[in-house]
Amino acid sequence: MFGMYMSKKAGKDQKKERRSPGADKHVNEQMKDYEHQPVVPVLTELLDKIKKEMGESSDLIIRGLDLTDRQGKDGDKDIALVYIQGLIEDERLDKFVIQTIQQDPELPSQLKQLKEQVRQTNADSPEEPVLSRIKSHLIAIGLICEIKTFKDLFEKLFLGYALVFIEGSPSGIGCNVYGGPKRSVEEPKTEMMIRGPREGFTESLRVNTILLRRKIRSPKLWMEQMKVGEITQTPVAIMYIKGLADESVIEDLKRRIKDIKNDGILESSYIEEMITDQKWTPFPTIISHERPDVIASNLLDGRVAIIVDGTPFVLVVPSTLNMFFQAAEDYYQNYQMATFLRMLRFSSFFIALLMPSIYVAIIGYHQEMIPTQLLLKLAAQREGVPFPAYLEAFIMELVFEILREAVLRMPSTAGSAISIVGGLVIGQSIVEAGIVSSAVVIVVAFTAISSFVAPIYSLGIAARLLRFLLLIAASTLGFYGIALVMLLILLHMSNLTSFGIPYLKPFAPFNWKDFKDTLLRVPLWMMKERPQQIGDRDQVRDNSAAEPRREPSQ
Amino acid sequence: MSMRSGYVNNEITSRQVSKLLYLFSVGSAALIVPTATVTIAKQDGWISMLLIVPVQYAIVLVYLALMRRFPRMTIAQYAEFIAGRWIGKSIALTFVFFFFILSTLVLRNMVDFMSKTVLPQTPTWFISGTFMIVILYGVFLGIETIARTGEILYIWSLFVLVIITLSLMNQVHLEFFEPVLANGLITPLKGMYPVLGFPLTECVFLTAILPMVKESEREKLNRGIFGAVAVTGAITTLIVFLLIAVMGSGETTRSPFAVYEMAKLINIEEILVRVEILFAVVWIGTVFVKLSLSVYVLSVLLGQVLGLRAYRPLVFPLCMLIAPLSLIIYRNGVHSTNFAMNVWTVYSVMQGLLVPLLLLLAALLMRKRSRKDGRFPSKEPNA
Repeated sequence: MFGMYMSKKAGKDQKKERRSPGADKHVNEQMKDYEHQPVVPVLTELLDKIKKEMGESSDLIIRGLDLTDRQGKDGDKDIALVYIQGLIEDERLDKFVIQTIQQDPELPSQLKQLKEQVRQTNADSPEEPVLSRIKSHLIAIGLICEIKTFKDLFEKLFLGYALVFIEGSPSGIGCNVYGGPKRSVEEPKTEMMIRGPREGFTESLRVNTILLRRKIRSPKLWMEQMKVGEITQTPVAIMYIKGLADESVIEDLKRRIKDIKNDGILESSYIEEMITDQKWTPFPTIISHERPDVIASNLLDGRVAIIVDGTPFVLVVPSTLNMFFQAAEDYYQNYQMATFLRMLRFSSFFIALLMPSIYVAIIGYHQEMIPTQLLLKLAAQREGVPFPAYLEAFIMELVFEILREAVLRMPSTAGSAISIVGGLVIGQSIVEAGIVSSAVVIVVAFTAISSFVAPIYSLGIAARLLRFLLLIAASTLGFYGIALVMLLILLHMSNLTSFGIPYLKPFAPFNWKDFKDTLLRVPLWMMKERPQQIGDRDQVRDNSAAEPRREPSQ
Repeated sequence: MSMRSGYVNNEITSRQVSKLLYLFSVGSAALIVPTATVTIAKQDGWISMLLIVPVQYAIVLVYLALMRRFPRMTIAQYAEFIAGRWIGKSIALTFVFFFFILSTLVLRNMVDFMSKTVLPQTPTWFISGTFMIVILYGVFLGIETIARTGEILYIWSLFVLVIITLSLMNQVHLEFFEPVLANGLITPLKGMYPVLGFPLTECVFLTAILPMVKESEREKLNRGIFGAVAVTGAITTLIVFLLIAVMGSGETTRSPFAVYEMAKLINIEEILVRVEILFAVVWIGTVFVKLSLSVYVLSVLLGQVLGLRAYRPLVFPLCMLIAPLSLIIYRNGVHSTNFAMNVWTVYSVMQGLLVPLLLLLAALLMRKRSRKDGRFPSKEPNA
C-alpha cells in the first residue's frame, strides 16, 4: 500500500484507456469504415451498394430519372434521387428538386455530352458541367452539400437529406428537405408556471437551438455541434456566449463528450451520466431544463448548455445545488414573494429529507421533546399499535413509494382507481385496523407533499433515497445517528464539484456576492454581478443606475 | 475551472481557516471547559473568558510568524529544516504524539457525553466506532472538504446559539453575578488556567493548516484570524455569561456538561421544551471539525516524518488505533477531570506554545526561512 504512494509512477498515469476489444470492432463496423470509400461514378453500381449496405430496407427510396430517353434496360438511368421515406418533406422534394431537374431544357444534351466524354476518356472528369448546373441553377433549396464518400452519404441520408447522383459524376449533391412528423412547441410539462413564456423545448435539436437564438439575439451566442453514439449518431450541440463562458469549461466539456464511446444516446441523461465529475453520488451535478428562458438566463450567467437531439431536456454545466432550488418564476414576480418561496423550498427539501427520521428519533429516543399534551395524545394513538415506531415509518414510506411509482407508470384512465385504493383503502383502513398510528400517516403524507415542492425533479430523487438511510440511522441511534448521517451527507456534498465549481457554492465556500440569489432573491437592480468563478470574464451584469423615486414633497 | 481543479484538494481560503479556528476552539471545549473555569473563578468566570482573548491572539501570532517564515511548510518540515534531520524528526514526533493523544481525548469526551446523557444504553464502542467512520470519511476526502463542511457547520452553530440565547432570556438572573470581582482580578485570572491548555494551545494545529492557504488569500489571513479569535472570545464569554446568569455558579460547578444542562431549562409556553438535543447536534458538529482536523494534522505530520508522498494511507490505521484507545484512556469521569485540570494544561502549553516558540526563536537567530513547497501530494519523495 505504501509502495504505491512512494513509487515514482503516479497511480493516475498507470490507468491506460481501458476498452474491450469488442468496442474497437464495434467502431469499425460503424461510420469510420465508410470514410475511405468514395462514391463510385457508375450509377447502377452505386445504387446496388447503397441497397446492399442497408439490407434493402423498404423505406429507402431510389427514384431514377431517364432524361436522355434511352429507354434501355431498367436501372439504366441518368440521375438518381435517394432518400428515406418519411424523413423528408415530399412536397419540397417534388417542387424544388425533381420538377426543376425534369423541366430543364438544357440538361438532356449536357448529360449526353458527359456520357460521350466518359466513354471516350474512360476516366472521371474532374470538372463537369452537369453537377454544377444542377447545383447552381436547378436545385431551389437553401442548404445543400456535396457527397464524396459513403460516410457523407449515410450521414446526410439519415439527417433528412435527399441525395442526387448523376451517372458519370464522382460526387453527388445532398439537399436538405428535412421533414416528417415532429412535435410542435408546447408548454413544458415538468416546469409549470403562472407567469412567463409558455414555450418549451421539443425533441428536435434545430427547433431547440432556434428557441434559444430567439431569446439571445447576439452574434456572440456560439454553437458547436458534434455526433455522439456510435450507432445512433445523435447530434449534440453545445451553446454558450463567447466571452462569458469559461474557455476551460468548454474545452473540458468537449473533451468529455468526445470521450463518450457509447453505441446509443437516447436521452440527455446518457450524456449527463457520462460527463459528471463524480460518478458515485445520489445528487444530480448537472441540471436539466425544459424551458428556453431558463437556459437563456443560464447562458447569460456564463454557463454552457448541452442540447441533445431527441429530447426536450437541455443540460447546463456547471451547476450547483443552489440552482435546483431556483424556479424561473422567481424572477418574474416580485422579489419579496420570490425570497419567501425560496426559503419555503429549502425548508421543504429538509422536511422531505428529515421528517420521518426526526419523528422516529423523537418517539424512540427523545420523548421529552414533545409537549406533555401532545405526548399523551400520541401515546393514546400508539396504544394498540403492535409495531415500534421505526417499523411503522418504514412500512408507510414503502407503501407511499410503491403508490407513487404505480401512479406514474400506469395508464391515466386507471388513475382514479389507484387514488381510491391507495388513499382511502390503505390510508384510512390501515389506521382504523390499528396497524400503524395516524401520526405516522400524517408524517409520511406531509413528507410526500414536501418532496413535490422542489422545482427540479432530479433533486427530489436524492432526498427520496437518503430518507431511508436517515430512517435506519434514526432508528438505531436517534438524533445522534441523524447527526452522523447528515455529517456524512454534508461531507459528501462538500466534496462534489460540477466542472470544477464546488457543488455547495455559494454556501461553502461562502460568497456574499453570490448569496444574493440563493435563500434570498434580491431585486434585479441589486444583482449587479454575474456568479463568481463562472461569469468571471465579464463581471458586470447590470449597469443601470436606479433613479431614486422621490417622495412627494409638500 | 478545468477537470483537474479540486483533484489535489489542498487549497483553502483565509475565511475558511478562520472558521475552522473558531470551530476548533469552540469544538469540544464549549461543553466541558465552562465547568472548570466556573469552578475556579465562580461568578467571575465570564471575565476570565474575556481576559483570555488577547492571550489566544498572542499564541496565534506565534503560529502566524512561523507561517511567514515558512509559508508552504508544516511544523514537521521546518522543525527538520531548523534543527537538522534527526532532532527535527524527534520534535515532529512529539507533535505526532500530541495530536494522537488529543484525538483520543476528544473522541473520549464525545463518547462520554453521549453515553452519559443521550444514549445511556448504547455500548460505548458503538458510539466511538460510528463517529470514527464519519471522521475517517472526512479526513480521507481532504482539507478542502473539511473546510467547506466547516463553513456550513459554522452558520448552523451560530444559528442554534442565537436561538438558545434568545429562548433563555426569560430566565436570566443578573443577581447571580454579584458580587462582581469580590477578590479582585485574581480569581478570573486563575480561571484562565484550564482554558490555556484546552483549547488555546491546541490551536497549534494551525501550523499544519496554514500552509494550505491560497497564495492570493495570504494578505487577508491576519485579519481573518483576528476575527476568528474575537468571535470565539465573544461566543465563549456569552456561553459562560448565560451559564452563570441562568444556573448560577454553584449549579454550573456541579454539572459536568453544564451547557447541556442549561439547554434543558429552555421552556417557552410549554411548547418549546427540552431542545437540548439541538445543542447536542451542534456540539457533534463542532467536535467533528475538531477531531477531523486533529486526525488530519496527525496523519499529515506522521506522513511527513516518515517521508511518504501522501497522508491518506495513514488515515485508516490511525483511526483504528484512536477508536479503541479512547475507550481505555480514562478509567472514569473523575480521572478525566483530574487529568484535564492537572496534567493536560501543562503538557498542552509545553507542546503547543513552548516548542513552536523555541523553533521560532531558533529560526530568527539562525536567520532561516524557506519558500519550499512541502504540501501533499509532494513532487519529491522527501521535502
